[in-house]
Amino acid sequence: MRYIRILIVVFIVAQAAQATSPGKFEVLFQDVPASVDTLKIAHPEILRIQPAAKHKIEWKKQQIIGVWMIAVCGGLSYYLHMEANEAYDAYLHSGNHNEMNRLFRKSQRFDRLTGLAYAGTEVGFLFTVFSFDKKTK
Amino acid sequence: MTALIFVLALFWACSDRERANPFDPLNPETDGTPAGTSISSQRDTVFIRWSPMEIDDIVNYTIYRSINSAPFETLVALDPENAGYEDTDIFYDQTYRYALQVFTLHDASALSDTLRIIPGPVNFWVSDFNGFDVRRITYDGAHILRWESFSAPIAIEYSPAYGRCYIADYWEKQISIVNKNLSVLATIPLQDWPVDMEIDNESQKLYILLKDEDYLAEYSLNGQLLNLNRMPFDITNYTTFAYDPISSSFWFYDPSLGTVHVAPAAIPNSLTSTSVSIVNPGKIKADPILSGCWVPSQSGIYFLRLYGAPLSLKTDYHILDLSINPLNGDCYYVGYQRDTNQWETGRLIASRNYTDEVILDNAYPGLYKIQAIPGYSPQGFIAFQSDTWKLLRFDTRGIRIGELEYFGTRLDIVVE
Repeated sequence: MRYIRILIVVFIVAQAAQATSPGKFEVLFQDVPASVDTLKIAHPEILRIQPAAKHKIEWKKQQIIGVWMIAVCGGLSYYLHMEANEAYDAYLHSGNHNEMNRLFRKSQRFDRLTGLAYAGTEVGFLFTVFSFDKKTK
Repeated sequence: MTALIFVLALFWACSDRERANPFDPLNPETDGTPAGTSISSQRDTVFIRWSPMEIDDIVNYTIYRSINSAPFETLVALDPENAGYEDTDIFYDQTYRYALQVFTLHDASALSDTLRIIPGPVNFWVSDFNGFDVRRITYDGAHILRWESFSAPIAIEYSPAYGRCYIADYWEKQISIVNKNLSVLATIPLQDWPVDMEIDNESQKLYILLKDEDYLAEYSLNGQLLNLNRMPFDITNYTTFAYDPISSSFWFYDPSLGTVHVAPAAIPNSLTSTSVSIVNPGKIKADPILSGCWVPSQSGIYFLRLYGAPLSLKTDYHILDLSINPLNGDCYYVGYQRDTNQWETGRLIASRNYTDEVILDNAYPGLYKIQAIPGYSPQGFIAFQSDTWKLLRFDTRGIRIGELEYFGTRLDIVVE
């Protein structure tokens, strides 16, 4: 009888030792879905923070040119337009024939340059838009 | 390359600014001269106005004047803040021309458009029934002093004592009392449609013929109804009347009987009929010197008097209108010879037993309305030409000195 009790205890200890090993544990909880495993027993890996994959913005040459043209030509267009307006306002109130002719020509010249600069802005915009075309290298 | 040239050309033309500086000789509106100029006269004062130039460095506006085609001479140089000038060094019936020039510290403009005017002692008021307006115009008949619309101005009278005009409005059934700016000061509601109106400036009364109920209404110049007389004949749109201040009587043309009645002003419905039979008369006029009534008609001119036989003149003419010079009694007429249809405008000279003096021949056809200028010597006149819808102003010799366009028919003209 004494030997039977010893055999039973050895058997239980052996089973317990087997259950605490990881391989055996996974086998036991392998049907638990990760979403309900709040104790993170079956799926401990979800405790780990998984950083998003880094996407590096790759500026194409065309985009750089486009944005640069928008910025520079847009600013230039605004500046030239203001200069043209200023010259025209001065023309409107001038009491000197030579001076008024000079101011009027100046306002016209700045108007044309404003137009060119504005066209540059438009080209830059188109450059930028078409740069998103995947066929564009 | 072609595309590049096209784009450059496009941008070369992309400035749409206008040459809007009023001092700019290339300004298409002003040619660089003072703009917005206008001229008018009131007796011996000529008013010149212009739009001030909003430019820098103006030194002055210089006004030049020419009298009767003489060369321009400097009249006055005015400070930049001025936008008008009153010339009081004026004589009547002279032709004055004005031009403006603006000087800046650097340059001078060219002379403005020439402004021409002939000042005189009177102005005119013209009511236009079909044109729905009343205009106050200058002595030379070339400039409008004021203008205002009315729904149906059928008759107009002027009171020099009050400086007001009385405008009978047919559809509105009212009299509008207006000042010289044509601002309505008051309105007098009428009992019926007015068809003709007369004023007695001596007793300061206004008489109005009202159709349908056949009334002659008598008002004070302040608009107070004094009397409403039922007339014993049918008053229609073709009934006209005249107030004779010498005999204090009324003359009525009765279209139903084709004759003229006369009645004392105190009892206007106590009529005495004249014996003449008149066909298709125009507006009858009282003679302010001899008393009596002038009647233009299809068979010439009749001068009806209280006592004595009627005078018949220009019997082979269809006379459309006439006007009496209140200071010398001359009778001005417009009409045409019935057989030849040749138009004629002339004057029956009172001091020469109504000798006929032709002023305009068939060169001016279609004159339907005439108003003589008051004066002791032979005077000019203003006439409406239906062919051109123009009001034409002629001097004593029949030379046209002014005109205004866009008049309708059925005008009434009164001298201010």
